[in-house]
Amino acid sequence: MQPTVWFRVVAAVGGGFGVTSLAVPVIAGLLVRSGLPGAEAVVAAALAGFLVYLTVLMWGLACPSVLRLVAVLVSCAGALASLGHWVL
Amino acid sequence: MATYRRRLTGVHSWAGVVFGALLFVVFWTGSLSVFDREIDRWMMPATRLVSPAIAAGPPRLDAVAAAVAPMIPPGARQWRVDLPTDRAPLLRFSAQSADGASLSRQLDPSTLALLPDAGTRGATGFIYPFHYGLNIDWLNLGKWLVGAAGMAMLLLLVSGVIVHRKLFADFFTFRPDKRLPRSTLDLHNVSGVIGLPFFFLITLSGLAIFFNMYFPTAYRGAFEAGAKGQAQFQAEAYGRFRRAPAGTPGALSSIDAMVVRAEREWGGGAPYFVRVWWPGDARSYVELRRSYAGAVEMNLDQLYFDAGTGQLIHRFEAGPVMRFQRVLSGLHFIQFRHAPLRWLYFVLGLGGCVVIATGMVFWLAARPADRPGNDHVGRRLMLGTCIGSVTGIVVATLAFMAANRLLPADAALPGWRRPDLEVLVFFLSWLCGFGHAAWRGQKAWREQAWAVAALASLCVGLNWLTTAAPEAVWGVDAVLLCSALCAVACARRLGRG
Repeated sequence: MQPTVWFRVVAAVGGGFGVTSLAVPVIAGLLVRSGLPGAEAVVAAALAGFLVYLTVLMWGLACPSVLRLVAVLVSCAGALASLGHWVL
Repeated sequence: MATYRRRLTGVHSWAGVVFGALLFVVFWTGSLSVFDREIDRWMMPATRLVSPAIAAGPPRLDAVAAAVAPMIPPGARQWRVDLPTDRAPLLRFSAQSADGASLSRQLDPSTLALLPDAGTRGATGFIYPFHYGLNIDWLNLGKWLVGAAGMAMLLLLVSGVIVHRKLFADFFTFRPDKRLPRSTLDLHNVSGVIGLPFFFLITLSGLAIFFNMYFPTAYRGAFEAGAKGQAQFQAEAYGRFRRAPAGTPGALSSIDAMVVRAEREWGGGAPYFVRVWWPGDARSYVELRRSYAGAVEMNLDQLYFDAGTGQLIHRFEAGPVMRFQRVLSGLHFIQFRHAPLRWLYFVLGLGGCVVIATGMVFWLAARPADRPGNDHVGRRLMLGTCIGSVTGIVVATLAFMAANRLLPADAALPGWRRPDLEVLVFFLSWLCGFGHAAWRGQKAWREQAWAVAALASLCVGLNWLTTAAPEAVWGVDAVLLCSALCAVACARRLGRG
């Protein structure tokens, strides 16, 4: 198998999970800000997390360009990290 | 769209190749867990008691508390009694001593007499935990592997729908008399389409149960990072009331009176277990959990009473989002009382096994070993893991059940008690299944199918020869006989090619 395929799998599966794990607390924080009680917001965000990760996998594993895949994941991670600073 | 579909075809087949074996194992043990209590009765003949709903009614809890009192270790953290149900007509007593060690015994609910040690983990103690934890406790690795397989299953389902263009036509297409690769793909498509909503729901709900483990940092969105925030989240989501012991002795007032109060608080709802924290302490308290036998939602309703005064000191009901999570959990755990739905879950679960197995078999059939360039290590490895995980785990499960009937009650090896020996038989026969598959190649399918037929019939025979009331578990025997017939049919069909 070509090395780019391995790289794509690692980026989509590992990187995708990383981005999702960053997104879940941020979503929870945003829900708290919009008035949901803390525990409720966490549960809602975590449940949504599974669907977010599935979407990332569906897109990332079939993404035609590995470069684009990495670029999108990195910018999402960056955006979530700064959003997290503001929300949490 | 056409290129996306082609790319997803690759994703579908590779996710299937990598996770197929693990997914089959999870679906197989999950399908059996649908009837875990029934298999328990099969493996623990002493617990084939008359359902207490038919007998005198639920036991008086004060009498139960008196009966279990001598078994409570001094300075115990807690003791707990699970009340009898239709499917498990016995009282289960368990206790946790101060150092965290736990013990558990079974009692007859009508006489309150101790039942003999079952000498087995049964389905609730082995097959069911294996379904979500693979018997690997280290770092929760088993649960993470099952979680990864779950995500792979969701990916396989969605990509499978996109890859198969003729979704509606596939629904009606099964040509069992064509050559095996064609029939296999037909079977893969038809069972995949029929069960699609179920497979999606059962996989997503299975993941949702462990949301807190798979997204361990989720709570930080609303609580401070660290153990304190985590505990606060647990308390707000699941309701956990804790009170430290006083260190001075105290009494236990009537639990039956607390149950009467609980039924009033819950508008007729009954408890399914009672737990006494810090028994014998002045600050001991009693926890009652509301039964969810009558609903899909596994409610988290809890009431806490002061043990000495019998006063209600704390109550908990989950919030709406958490209740939604508990509906999802309920759809997965099926603890509600509904026999036809239980059978539907069982059949659809086995349908999932069929989809996964035929998917792997088709991948192999599309790469015949006699074609040049196909007989490489990867293909042989795939064939071995495929046979070992499909028919191999069925053989291992049946060997586990046969060992339950064949091992003498006092069987033990140094460091191994009887329940461990049964589990050892399971893993050894599973290992044999893999070894046999590696040795015999394609022929192993047929030979293991015959082994399944023989072992399933043996299990039925052993139940009738070695237990006192074999007819009480006729359902398990009937499924075993059907499995034997099914295995014979498969073995004969495989012989025709």
